[in-house]
Amino acid sequence: MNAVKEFVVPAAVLTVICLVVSAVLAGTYQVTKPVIEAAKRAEADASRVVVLPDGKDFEEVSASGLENIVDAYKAGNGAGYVITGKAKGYGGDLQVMAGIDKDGKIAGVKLMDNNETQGIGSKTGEDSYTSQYKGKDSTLDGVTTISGATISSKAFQSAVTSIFQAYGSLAGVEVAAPEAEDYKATVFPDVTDFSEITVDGAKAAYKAGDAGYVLVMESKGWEHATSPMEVFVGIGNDGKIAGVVVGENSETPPVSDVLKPEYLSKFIGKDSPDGIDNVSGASQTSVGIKKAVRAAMELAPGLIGDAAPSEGGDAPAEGDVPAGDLFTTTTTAKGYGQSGEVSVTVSIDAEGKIASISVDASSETTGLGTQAQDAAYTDTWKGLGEGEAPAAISGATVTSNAVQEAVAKAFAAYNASKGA
Amino acid sequence: MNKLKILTNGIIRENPVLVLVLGTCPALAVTNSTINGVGMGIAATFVLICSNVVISLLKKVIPDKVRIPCYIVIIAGFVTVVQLVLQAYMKSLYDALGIFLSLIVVNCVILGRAEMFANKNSVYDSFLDGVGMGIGFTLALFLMGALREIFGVGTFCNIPIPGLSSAPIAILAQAPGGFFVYGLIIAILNKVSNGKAVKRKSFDCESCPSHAGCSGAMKGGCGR
Repeated sequence: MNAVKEFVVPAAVLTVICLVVSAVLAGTYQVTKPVIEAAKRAEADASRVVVLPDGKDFEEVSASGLENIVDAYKAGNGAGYVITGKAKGYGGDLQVMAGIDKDGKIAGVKLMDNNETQGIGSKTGEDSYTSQYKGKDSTLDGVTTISGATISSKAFQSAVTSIFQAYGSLAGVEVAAPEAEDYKATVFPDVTDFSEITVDGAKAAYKAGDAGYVLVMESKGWEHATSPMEVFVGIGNDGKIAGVVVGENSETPPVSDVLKPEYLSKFIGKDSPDGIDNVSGASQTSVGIKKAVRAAMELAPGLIGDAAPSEGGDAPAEGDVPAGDLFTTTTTAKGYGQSGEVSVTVSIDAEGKIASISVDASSETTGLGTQAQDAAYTDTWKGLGEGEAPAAISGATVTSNAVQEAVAKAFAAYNASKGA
Repeated sequence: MNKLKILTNGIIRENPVLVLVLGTCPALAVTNSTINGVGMGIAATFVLICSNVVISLLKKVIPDKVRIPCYIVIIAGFVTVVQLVLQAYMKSLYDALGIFLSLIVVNCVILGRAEMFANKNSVYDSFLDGVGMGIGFTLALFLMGALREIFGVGTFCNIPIPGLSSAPIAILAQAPGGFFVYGLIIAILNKVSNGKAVKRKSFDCESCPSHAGCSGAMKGGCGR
């Protein structure tokens, strides 16, 4: 009896009290749970309502596989989407949150995480800048950049463009990309009917009515630029360069002067960028443009072949020469210069001999390595077969070796293509 | 003991914070603003009244051996209820009180009143004691919170006070300021009451919650 009073009763009482308290807590939890959850949702929504005032009950949707997107939310009431995108600004990644309403127009944008310079790039976070996005559709027509904060503005705009791309794939609607239209039109001002075509090796390609083609190439410019340059190369039906325009880029003054028509017009009417000087003080940008033009011209013969009846010496698409007899390829090898790339384009004929060769050694030392570009040197390669090489340029051995290495690679590719 | 005396006992004569020096942890931690102090006071008062009533109701049922675990379970239950309700309906106060809300469970004022008063007195008396002590606790926290906010931030209930808001004594709103203000209030109280404010009897070993398990109790008290 004593044992019961001593041990059983206290344990039983404590257990009963615990059970009763648990029951009370369970009841309270049931009552407060919906309120707490609603409050949590409202708190999370509050930040998104700023850019999409009509939105409610936001639900996160998967943003995996979408380029430059941080996260994406869909309004539960069908008001639209709130998507956070990013782009490289002046001080690293810059994040922008945008609300896109059900008509595909911007309801609001807000600058989020960023490291832009206070007082300059940070102006992109101010109402005076962000308010211009309101009501815009994916073309962002009429959006202006802040003078003095071009990179930040461009990054902001690029993030919004990414957001629209993401919106397109999330909402399953067609979203027109801004800008590209303008640059094409600059190359062929008289042409209005551009149709998109697919060309391997080009970022994008358009048939410009009957006037020719526009190839969009990507090329690295200044080494500190935050993104590569987009170079629009117009190719006329005669296989010559009809115009060069630099599209999206993050080159900065003074090197961005190279992007102006005064320099770019030098390309018009040429077969290749050979012989066009680099702009002193902007070599990297010049080289970048030339590389893009050269790469576009590599692709040109394949395009012009079906439009024009006949082409010059090394176009492989001529009717009487069976396709594949002339093998043209561009290879690179490490040279002497700081950016280090020597680019060599080799055409090899049916007998396995070099029919033509052109060298872009523009990043090599001017006056020494650049001699490899001269006809005096490249002509010595003509007619040579695999394993053969002319004498190296005295004083430019490293560059010559690089050319030789690139040619060897070209032969390897030629053999591989024949084997296949 | 007459009912009014029980009620006023906790407010002045045995103010839990300023006289009994109990519950100092929340009193120092959350009194960096008036609203936080009062919010904490009200939350603790609610738990105190409820636990006092329930413990008084169960004083015959709860065996002496397991009374402390029983008290803690009951108090913890009420604290969790308060926590859920605040989280649902007063989110900002819930965020401001943070961890100290859950720490009401181990608030000495509440456990102390359960041990010192509720388990010996009637339900009604315990209720009045809870109300009185709760008001005393809330007033003390309000006083500290107000002083610290007025002089430390220069605002009162978030309303800026001209002249003070431009040159606040910032440290008063920080942790050390809690000790400064607390010490000053007790000192002034002692001065005003000629040292009679601190009621020695309440510190007796008999009334200490850990009396039963304390080795110092045999020698006549912990500190003596």
